[in-house]
Amino acid sequence: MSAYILRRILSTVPVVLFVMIFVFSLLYLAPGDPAAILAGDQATQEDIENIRTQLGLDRSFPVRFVEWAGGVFQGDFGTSIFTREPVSTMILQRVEPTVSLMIVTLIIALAIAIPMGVAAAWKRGSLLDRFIMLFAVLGFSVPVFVVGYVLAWTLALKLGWLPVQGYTPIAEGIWPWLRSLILPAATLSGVYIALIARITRATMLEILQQDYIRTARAKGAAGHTVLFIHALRNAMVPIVTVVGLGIALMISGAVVIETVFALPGLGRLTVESILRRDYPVIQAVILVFSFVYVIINLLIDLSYTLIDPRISY
Amino acid sequence: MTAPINQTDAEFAAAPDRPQILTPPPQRSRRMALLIEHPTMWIGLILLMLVTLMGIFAPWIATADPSALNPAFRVKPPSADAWFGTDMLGRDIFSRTVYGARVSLVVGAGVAICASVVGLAIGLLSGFIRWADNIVMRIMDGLMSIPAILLAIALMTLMRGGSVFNVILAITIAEIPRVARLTRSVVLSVREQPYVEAGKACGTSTLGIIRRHIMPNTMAPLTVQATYICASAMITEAILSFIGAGMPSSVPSWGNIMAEGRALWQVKPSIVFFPALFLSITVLAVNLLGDGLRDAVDPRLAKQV
Repeated sequence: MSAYILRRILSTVPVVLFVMIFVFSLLYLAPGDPAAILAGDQATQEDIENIRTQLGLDRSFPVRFVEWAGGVFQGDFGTSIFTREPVSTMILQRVEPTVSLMIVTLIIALAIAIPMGVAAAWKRGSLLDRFIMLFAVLGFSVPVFVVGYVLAWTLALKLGWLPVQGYTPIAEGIWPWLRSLILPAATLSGVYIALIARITRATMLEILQQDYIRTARAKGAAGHTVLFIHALRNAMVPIVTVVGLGIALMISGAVVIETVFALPGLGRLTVESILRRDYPVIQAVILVFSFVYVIINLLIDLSYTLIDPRISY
Repeated sequence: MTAPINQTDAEFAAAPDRPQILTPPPQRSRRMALLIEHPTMWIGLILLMLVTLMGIFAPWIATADPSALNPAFRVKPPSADAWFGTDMLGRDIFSRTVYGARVSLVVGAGVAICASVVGLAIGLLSGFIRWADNIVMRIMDGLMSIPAILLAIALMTLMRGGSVFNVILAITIAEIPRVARLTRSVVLSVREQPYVEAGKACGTSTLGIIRRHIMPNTMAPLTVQATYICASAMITEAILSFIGAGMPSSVPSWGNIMAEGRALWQVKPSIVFFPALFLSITVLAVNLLGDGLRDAVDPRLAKQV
């Protein structure tokens, strides 16, 4: 067991290393000479060379990479070209809206998608099933920002039920915080619902044909007991796996949704940094998001034994 | 026509060799069978063809030059002159939307083809060459651990300046790992099949085995995957343009039109609405086509996705 955990943790090392090399190359290859930018317009060639030596920019790729990676593990992502602030500070300021958005999205998605998937599998081939599957196709097809604009236009702008844009920090109260997140989270959950509902349906269909389901029915277990205790419990591993993989979709969606709803989160920071060509920030955001994705999926892998006691290593 | 119940022996003897009740039913063509079993696939195909035609014949369909500025006629709502209204620079949104089909379709098809070809090659390589497998798959894992849009954004900022080619390249790199993994899994399962072993025993070269036995097995799942990649590439392209990391804003792509309407969406939703509608319909068409292909090509796949 602990050997497996260790092996699984070690297996993320090459992945993390690859991501770090890729992200570092991004800054290394990025157009523009940071030494020349820092030196300003009046600088002579000599000044630029001095700054280059000072910052260590004249050293080789591996040396600079190791130094940069060491900084990253201590939380030092360098300095923004645009604001001259430490990148880590900028990221920390933007974490709350994004994390809030993702948690609310996840809750909405699970609360809607799993019952949908179970219902579709239970009433296989029925009108309900077809309707749910149609919704799933639509969820994959209609881009998040389109859903976002439609929801914001109808629910917020025309009906005035929810704030149109902006974010209220959780420190100002749970309810205002939640109100500012309902629309973006509902929007973002669309693709996620489609993804989870589909896998739930597919897994449930397979499980409902198993012998033990027939046995459970035969011994007189109630319909919902069979469905939720016997079947859904056994469908959890694929569902949880897809939830983990779907984090990538949620991260991609957050970049767009935070722009549509003017949430001051990491996604918005990414977009602002692209427009400013602020490479250190772009680099750091990609790194942070990728680490989060890798770590969540690592934890999910390790949680299989808890979800399904039959799985042991 | 049914045969009478009380037949005499003579009647039996006189009966034709093949009784009429047993005439084989008229053979439905494969295409007809597909149409009846998968109506949604045909809806998708027809919609996609309409959008393609719109893209091809854009110069004849468009009512105005998509990049002609008309400062006196800015941010107008839909009217008889400008069917979808005009944007902040007075450009005709209907014409821009019609031309936008070209960008989406070219990017979608371009990424689907490039990612499939490169991913197939990488998948075959890592499925057949053991020492390469570990390295290649770690690189694929690494690429997959960067969310696709962020990866595309990173590559776009590196390439500095968007062109159709750069956008296709950036999205292709983000999509390759999916194809490579799929191909590799097919290779790993097929290479253990008895007929591959038999082929080897007969002295078929590795290349011959790949060409004769492995490749045909990858085609069905790869075609389905390619349609899904096409759909997701269209969305990614629109998102890139929308957040300002894609095509230059002068190019009439659906994402760009929406990006221009972003600041005004609360007062002039029509600027965002029309390109959004066309984008959604096109992506839906491709997804419906993909779902139909998936069910038609291999019903077992339907369960997995």
